[in-house]
Amino acid sequence: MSRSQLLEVLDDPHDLSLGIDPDGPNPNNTSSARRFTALPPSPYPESGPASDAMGLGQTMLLGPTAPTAILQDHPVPIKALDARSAVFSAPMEILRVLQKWEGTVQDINGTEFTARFSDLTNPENPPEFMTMPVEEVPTPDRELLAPGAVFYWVIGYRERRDGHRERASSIRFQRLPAWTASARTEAKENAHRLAQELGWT
Amino acid sequence: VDLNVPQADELEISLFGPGVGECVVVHLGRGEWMVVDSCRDPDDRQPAALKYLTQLGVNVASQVKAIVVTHWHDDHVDGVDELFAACVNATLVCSQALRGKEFIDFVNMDRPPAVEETGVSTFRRLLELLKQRQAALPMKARGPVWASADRTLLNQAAASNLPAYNVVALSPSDAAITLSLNEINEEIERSHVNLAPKRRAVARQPNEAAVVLQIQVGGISVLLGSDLESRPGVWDGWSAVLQTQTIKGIRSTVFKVAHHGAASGHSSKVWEDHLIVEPIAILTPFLIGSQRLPSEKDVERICSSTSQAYLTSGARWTQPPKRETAVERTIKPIASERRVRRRSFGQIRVRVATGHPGQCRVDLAGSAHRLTGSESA
Repeated sequence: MSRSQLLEVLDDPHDLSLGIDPDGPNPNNTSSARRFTALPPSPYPESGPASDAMGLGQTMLLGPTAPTAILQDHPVPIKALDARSAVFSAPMEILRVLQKWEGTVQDINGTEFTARFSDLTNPENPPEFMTMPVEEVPTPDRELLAPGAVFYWVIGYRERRDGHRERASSIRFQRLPAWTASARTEAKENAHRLAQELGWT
Repeated sequence: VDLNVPQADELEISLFGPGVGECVVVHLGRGEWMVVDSCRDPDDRQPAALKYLTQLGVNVASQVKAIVVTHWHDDHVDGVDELFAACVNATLVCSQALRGKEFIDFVNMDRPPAVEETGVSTFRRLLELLKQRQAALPMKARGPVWASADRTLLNQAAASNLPAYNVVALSPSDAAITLSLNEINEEIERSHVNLAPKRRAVARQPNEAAVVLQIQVGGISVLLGSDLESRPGVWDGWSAVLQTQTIKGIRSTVFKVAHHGAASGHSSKVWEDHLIVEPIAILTPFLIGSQRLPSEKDVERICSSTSQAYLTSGARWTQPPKRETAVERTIKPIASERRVRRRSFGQIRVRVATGHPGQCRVDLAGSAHRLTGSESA
C-alpha cells in the first residue's frame, strides 16, 4: 500500500470513526491504550487517480504498523519519521474493503448531488448513477464538490483487534493540488510546444 | 443487416448508437468511406465504425478518406483514437472552434481518469497520434483539416458511371468559433485565477461549435446535425447554419437529427426549407442524470414532421447489479436514486443508389427501431 493510498483513508481529521482525534492530542487522556495519529495530509501525487486507487478487496491496516502512522501523540512529518525508530505492534483496527467506487460529480442540485460511479471492485459492472445528499460529503471536502470532481467511496467492515466489527462507509474527494502559477506556466509551455509541433496556430 | 458492401454508385449512411454515444459511417461511392464521430459496441468495446467496416471487408487503411470529430464531448469521441490509428490514410477533420492554443492548453489541464475515458483524454491521445503521423511533413502541412461554415472538406468529380461527391461543413460560424474559444479561455482562467483544485473537464452547454455536415453524392443530399443547438440570435447555432451559402436551395433526403432530438437542437426552418417531404430522420438517444433524450415531446415533434424517423436504441434506466448485503445495506440510506443504463446497441442503415434517389432502403439492426410518435427514448 502506498502512502497516498493510506492517506486516502487517514487524512480526514474529522473522521472519528477511523480512530483519529479531530482535535489533536488530548493531554488529559490517561488511557493506557496507545493511540495512533495520522500524518498531516499532503497533496496527492501528480501521477493521477489510478495510482491513488486503493487495491481491490484488500484489507487496510489502520493501526501503527501502517507505514504512515506511528505510535505517538503528535503528528510527525514523514521526513522526521524516516529519521527515528518507531515501535510497531499488531494493528488496532483494519478496514476490510467490500466495495469501492470511483465517482465523478455530474451535477449538484441544492442539497443533493448526482455522480457517475465506476465500480473498482468489479470493473465489469456498468457505471452506476447515484444521487446522494451533499451532507454525506465530509465537511472539509465540500469545497471540492463541483461538476467534474473525482472522489472515492469505500464501503467495508471496520474490524478491531478485540473482534468487534461494524460497517463503515467513507467518501473522500481527490485532493489534487490546485494549479500553481509555475505549474500553469509549465502546462502552457507544453501546450504551446504541442501546438507548434502540430502546426496548430 | 446484411454485410454486403454497397455498390460503387450507392450512398450509405449508417448510424450507430449504444444508448449514449454516436457514430456515423458514410459510403461516398466508389468504395470511399468517411466516419463522423465515434462510439463503441458495448459488447466487445470495439469502435463501432471499425468493427462494421472490417465486417464488410473494407480496407480501412486505404478506403477511409476522412474521420470527422464534430466536437470533443465524451459521447462523440469514444474510440476515435483507435479508429484513427487503424485508418492510416484518413484525414482528421476537427471543428475550427478548437483551433488555437487555448484548446490544447485546455486538454493539457484535464486530469486523466482512473477507469473511465473522457472525451478530453481521448482527444489528447488523438493529438499524439496526429503528431506522430505528421512528423515527417513540413510544418505548413501539419494539423487537422479545420471545419467551419461553408468549407469544403472532401470532393470528387463524377467519373464514368460514378457519382460526384462533395462534403461541406455548415458550422461552426465565425461567431461560434470566437465564443467557443472564449469559453475555453474562461474555463482555463477560472481554474488558474482561483487556484481551484484540478478536476476533469466538463462539457458546457449549449453546444454552438459542433460541426454540421452536408454530404452530396450524385443528386442526393444528407444533413448530419451533430449536437448543434439553437440559440437566440443569428450568429451561431442553427441560425448561422441557415445563413450559409451551401445549404441554400438544397433539400436533404436523410437527416441525422441534431442533439439527440432535443428541442434545443431543433430548427423548424431546417425541416421546412432544407429537407424533402417525408425525409428519413435518424437519431441516437442520450441519457445522463435526469436528462433523457429524445423526450416524449421530442419524439412527437419529430414524428409530426416525418413518418420515417428511426432511433438507434432506447435509452432506459435499469436496476444496478445486486451487491453483497452489507454493501446494499450501507448504500440504501445514503443514495436516494440508483440506476444504470440498460445495455443496448443499434444500427440504422440507409442505402440508396444515386441513380434512384427515391428508393431508399432502411435496414435496422440490434435495438434500432422506428419511432411511432408515442414514446420517449
